[in-house]
Amino acid sequence: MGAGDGERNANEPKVTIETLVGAYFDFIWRSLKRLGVREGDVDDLTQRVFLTAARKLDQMRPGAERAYLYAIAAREASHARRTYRRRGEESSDTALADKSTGGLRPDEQVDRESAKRLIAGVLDGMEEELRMVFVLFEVEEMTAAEIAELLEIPIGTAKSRLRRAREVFADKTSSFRLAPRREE
Amino acid sequence: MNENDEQRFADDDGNPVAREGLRSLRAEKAPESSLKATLAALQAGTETPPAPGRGALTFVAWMAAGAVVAAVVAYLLFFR
Repeated sequence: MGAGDGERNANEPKVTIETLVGAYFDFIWRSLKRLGVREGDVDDLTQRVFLTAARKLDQMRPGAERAYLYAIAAREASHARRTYRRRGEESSDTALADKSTGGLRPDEQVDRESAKRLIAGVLDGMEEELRMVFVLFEVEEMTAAEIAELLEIPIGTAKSRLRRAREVFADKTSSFRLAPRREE
Repeated sequence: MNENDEQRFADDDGNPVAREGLRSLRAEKAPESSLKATLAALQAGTETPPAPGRGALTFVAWMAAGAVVAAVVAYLLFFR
């Protein structure tokens, strides 16, 4: 767990924005990517999340900093996706989904580099509420209980979304085959 | 859910492409330059201005077109 998670007693020093950056920068950066923000905007929006957080540091509930940051990131991503739609541009959802196949047939063998793009495309094509839970579980390695707390949903809902997401994911990836590793 | 609830794709014997892809996504890290820029912006208390987007360019184009039209109208009204 990162800084700020779990219980904190009164003697512990107050969390600073620098501590949060150190603990959650990569998490927020990855989350924005998986929330449909385009590659070229991810750095700017990550910065904006932490600048917003810095202004509202006093409002953060001790122990819930990650959830607070994620909520800001989700809002920023939603705003970015609206902007893309208004301008008639692609979000990373469609861009990645298109690039992910890269002309490959689903049953074609893919190498290890392509696997990442392919899986990112599958995730970005998922319904958002399923994708969020799946990514938090499979990529961020959070538990169902942590996800429920982060997204402010009942744990049963988190588990049922995860189950549905796994079904969708397994269905979409079942025909992918990994190419054998080339001998050096 | 069953006892495998907390078992991840990377741990089981599911599709190797899925395992490999998820492992790569998990290992993704933000570029160092992005982290440094954010820390600098936090210290300065300001946001790095984003590169001019399409909106800014459209605004400049409209301003330029407006100036040209105004010049033509002024010429027609006062110099002819």
